[in-house]
Amino acid sequence: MPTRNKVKNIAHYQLGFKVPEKYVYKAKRGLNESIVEQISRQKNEPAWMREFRLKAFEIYKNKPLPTWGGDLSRINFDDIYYYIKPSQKKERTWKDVPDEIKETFDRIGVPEAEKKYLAGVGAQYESEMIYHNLKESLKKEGVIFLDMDTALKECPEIVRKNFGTIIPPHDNKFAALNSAVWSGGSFIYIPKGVHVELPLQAYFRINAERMGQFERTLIIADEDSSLHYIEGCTAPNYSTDSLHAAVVEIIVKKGARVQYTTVQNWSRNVYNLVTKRAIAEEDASMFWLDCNVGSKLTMKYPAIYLVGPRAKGEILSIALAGNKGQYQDTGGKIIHVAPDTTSTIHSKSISINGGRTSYRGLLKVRPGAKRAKSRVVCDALMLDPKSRSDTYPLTEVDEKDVAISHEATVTKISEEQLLYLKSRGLNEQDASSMIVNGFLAPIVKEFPMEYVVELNRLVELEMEGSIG
Amino acid sequence: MNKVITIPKNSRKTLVWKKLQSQDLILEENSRLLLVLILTKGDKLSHNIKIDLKGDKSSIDVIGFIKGKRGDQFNFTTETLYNGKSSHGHIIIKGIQYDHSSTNYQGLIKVNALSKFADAYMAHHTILLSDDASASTLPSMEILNDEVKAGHAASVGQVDDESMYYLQSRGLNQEEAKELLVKGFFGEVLDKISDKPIQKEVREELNI
Repeated sequence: MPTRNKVKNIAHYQLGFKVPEKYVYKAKRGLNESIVEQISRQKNEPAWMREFRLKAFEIYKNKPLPTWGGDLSRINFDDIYYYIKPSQKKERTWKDVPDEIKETFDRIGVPEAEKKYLAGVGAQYESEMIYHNLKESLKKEGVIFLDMDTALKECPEIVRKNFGTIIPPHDNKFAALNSAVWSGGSFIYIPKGVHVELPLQAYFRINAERMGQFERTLIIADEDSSLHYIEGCTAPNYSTDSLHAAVVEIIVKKGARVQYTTVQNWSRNVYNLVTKRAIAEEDASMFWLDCNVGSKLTMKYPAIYLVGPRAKGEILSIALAGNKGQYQDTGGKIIHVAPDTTSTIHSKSISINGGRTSYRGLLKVRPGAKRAKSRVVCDALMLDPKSRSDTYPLTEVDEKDVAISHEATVTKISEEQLLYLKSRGLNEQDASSMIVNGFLAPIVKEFPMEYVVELNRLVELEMEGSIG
Repeated sequence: MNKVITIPKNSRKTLVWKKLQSQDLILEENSRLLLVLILTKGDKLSHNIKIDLKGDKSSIDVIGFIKGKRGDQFNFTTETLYNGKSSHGHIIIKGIQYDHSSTNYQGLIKVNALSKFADAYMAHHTILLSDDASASTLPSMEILNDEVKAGHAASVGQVDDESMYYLQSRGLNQEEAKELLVKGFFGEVLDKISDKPIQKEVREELNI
């Protein structure tokens, strides 16, 4: 049973520490063409990428901010550092990573995790991947797991062919921003028929104040392959704002399967505005497992385009807004293009202590997507009268031969269930925690063990001091 | 500016609309409104129905039947605002789209921070009977109070294959089987209207 600390505002964010800045290169604050060029030059990029960045920057300047979702008006884009290079090169062994950076990742537990249960790890600190490693056996099978900057140099053809094809710069303002100033992120290629049994993981850490992190990830799973990729992110607590605008593009080829798990636990001063999209070809399956518990504002809607017959898409999403002023605006988008495709979206959200969660989703069936089947379920739990829960699920169906359904509920903890548990000897707080963990259980059980324990603990801590 | 209809305190009223219209409906304390929509002719305009559950214990039931033919378009939004306490609002819309008709429906349920014990429900179910028919539905909720029972549902599909097969195996041809299932689709909700004359009116308009 958790200790009885009456912590109202959750100051327990144990990953909110910071270490001194010892950077090799830190760009001037704010963004202009010259900084975009500097970034490209620092990385020694080919001309086509430099042009891509500059064109994207033009698009970014001209695109308006979205008028829906969270309040983006307070972001001071001129007050952010768009590029910080923490060390001279990427390391392959932890002992070679600079001390204060290694200390950070030790405290988070990444090196230990790699030893115990991962096939490969990438660790990004500020703008660069400072550590990257992949098990030898996988390298021999032809698996490529590199940070994006290295991939640009070592696999130019495949990168150039696919980069920006799933999420082009003009998709939205933050995709344009990322396309201009992206740095770090992962590139993964899984060859035909190869199944990567253990997960590949990337961990993203912001350390400096007013930092903008813009990682770019591209995953290509060739025919009949399979992959599980896990991504975690945290940052120190500052009173100024940070910005995280990532772009993730995934291509799941015929018969392949990709699972992308995210545990987002940014500190409460981070604006988390992410564009994630996958396309699933014939008989392929794509699974987004998304957990959002941190950040000041998250706007993220992982999407799957089912473009080949019998493709399958699944999105499981948990959102927890546990503090006043915290807003999780999340959901999922699935577009049925080919026939005989199926999809499920299951979203669970919890708002407490004045937090706000919104489910924002799209279920679209294009003409010709015959026999499409889809089920969208959104459950929201509101744990006190100060919080807020919204649901905006859009369903657009242009094909008659389909079976599409959607349902959503918003409730508080059931009085009956509380009474039952209390009659068995639990106090109100423990009973509530148990019920909330039970509410999340169907999705939480899909996460790797370590995250499950962490998530359950987080929920219990959020609930302390807020019942009654 | 929408026209305003106020349902006075403690009163009961039933409205039957055969055409979509933009309207503000204000329900005072302990009032009850049944709004029946029988829509068989669509226009290309957008309509907005705003329902203000202003008084405590006010209640509205909206039961909508849509039968779209040829190029009928039914574009409308409903906004149900829970301002009083212990209010009830149930909206059920059932639509059948033939030919190249379409329905675009957006329904917002908004429960503000002081409206305790709200009972909110919204459902939009559509059957598409032709390749060119379409439907788009956005049932949304903004809930700012935890003492609430709120839910919504939406579905789009065809007439159930198995039921079609069963009826045809009993001697009905495809058209007859379809019409029978359409009747059942609407019938489910029609039974919720206890007023016999209105039930009759619905059956006549929809030809079921």
